[in-house]
Amino acid sequence: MTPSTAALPTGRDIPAPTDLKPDYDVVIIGGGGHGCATAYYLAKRFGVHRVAVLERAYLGGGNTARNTTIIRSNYSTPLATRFFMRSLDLYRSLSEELDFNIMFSPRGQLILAHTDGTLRGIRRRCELNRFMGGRSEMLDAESVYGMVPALAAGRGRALPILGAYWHSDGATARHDAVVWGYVKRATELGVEFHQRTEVQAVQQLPGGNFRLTTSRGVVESAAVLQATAGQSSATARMVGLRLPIQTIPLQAMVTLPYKPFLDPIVSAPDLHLYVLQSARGELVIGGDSDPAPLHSTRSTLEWKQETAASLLDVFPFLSETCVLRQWAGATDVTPDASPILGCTPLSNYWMSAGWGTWGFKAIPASGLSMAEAIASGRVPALIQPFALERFQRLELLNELGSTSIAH
Amino acid sequence: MKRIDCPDLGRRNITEFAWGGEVQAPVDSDDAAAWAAALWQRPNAAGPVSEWWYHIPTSTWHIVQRNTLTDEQIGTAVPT
Repeated sequence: MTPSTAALPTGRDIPAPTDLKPDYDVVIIGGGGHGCATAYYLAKRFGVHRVAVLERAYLGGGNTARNTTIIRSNYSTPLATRFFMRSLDLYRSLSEELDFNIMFSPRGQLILAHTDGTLRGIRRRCELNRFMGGRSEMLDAESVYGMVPALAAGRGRALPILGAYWHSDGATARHDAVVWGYVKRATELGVEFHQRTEVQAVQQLPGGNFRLTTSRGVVESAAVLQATAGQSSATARMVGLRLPIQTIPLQAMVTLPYKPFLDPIVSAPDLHLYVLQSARGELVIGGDSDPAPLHSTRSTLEWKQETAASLLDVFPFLSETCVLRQWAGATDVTPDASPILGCTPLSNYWMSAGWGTWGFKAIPASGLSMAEAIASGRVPALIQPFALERFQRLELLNELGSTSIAH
Repeated sequence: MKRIDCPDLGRRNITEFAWGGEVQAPVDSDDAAAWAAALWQRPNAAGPVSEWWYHIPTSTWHIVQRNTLTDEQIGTAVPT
């Protein structure tokens, strides 16, 4: 059955559906943050306008809608730190770039240490980030209570706060608005966005072009980018590639709204917890990944039990709160907790995958770098470390332990 | 709480277990590319798969057949 596009709403920012053209210069599979950003930069910076983004469902409806909106640059290797610092820089000016308010909120991230091991780990990340030019410093427990008085409510509990890493570059942004802004401006530059258009087969023709069979007809393209976080393995299988990826759910939940009491993002790696207060006053709560791979976005009782217990250790006064919403995202996790960006063994088949739990904060730098790679045929130095072939060369990176999620 | 059938102990809470990856054929080659593929590339299949699971308290490995679309356990086996 061919899905109808007639029922789609035609809002201010999302373009009305059009018919597919027979061919494009670039087809992007996946209309999430990475796909839409790449399309925008291709048209805006590199003069490539014959671009189509094919989205199976609706724009920004996958992991772009499911992340917890956190932007930060405090990773564990210089290569990843450099990349995420670039992304943070682009986020800072993204509302101006797009003339579209993405509600960038530079509130800072406070990472708590409850054990000596974590204190050493975050001190190392803090020093690396500062060395690379980020704004980072270590705080003792008293300074932590001074910065977030609500944390003093958990004082004296079984697991005391030993210290913290204050990453004042940390921020949040309205995740949906990032996609809407890119789509609105890319559309003005001639990029086509086709929703409810599922790519069912991809075939490389003898001349090198690609033929894509979709639920709305066949298109040809000189280059293809796959940007289908959560479905990366299945998409790559269409062109015969096997990826170093396992798809694992990452859950989150949101509480009742409260008066503002929590300015920074608070992370507690020892408790597998991170929490921030949204502009609506709700607490957005994230925790550990699921214990095993699953191709489903259901949420579970045991995750909520464990994460709620951690939340009450940090903020005991929330014991009477209620969960308003709960969900999961399908995260494509690589063995070295780093993305897969750049070219593949198929010439002109490009990949933006392996975004695990770190995809949203990477959208601008990934989109700009991939656009440069596709337009010029040369992978920029910023993303060369994330090449798929690093696994063949056994040159893995190591970003395990750069989040509050266990690896 | 979700539980997993252990061939030795019966049904135990999932928190007692660690996932150990999909069961795959041993590498019978000296080729570096074959080893890299075996080490890193994953089918990541959506549907019934066979996986290694480790029971932490008793330090024992066993094989679980699980549907990765529904999270239902289909069967269990002692590795031979």
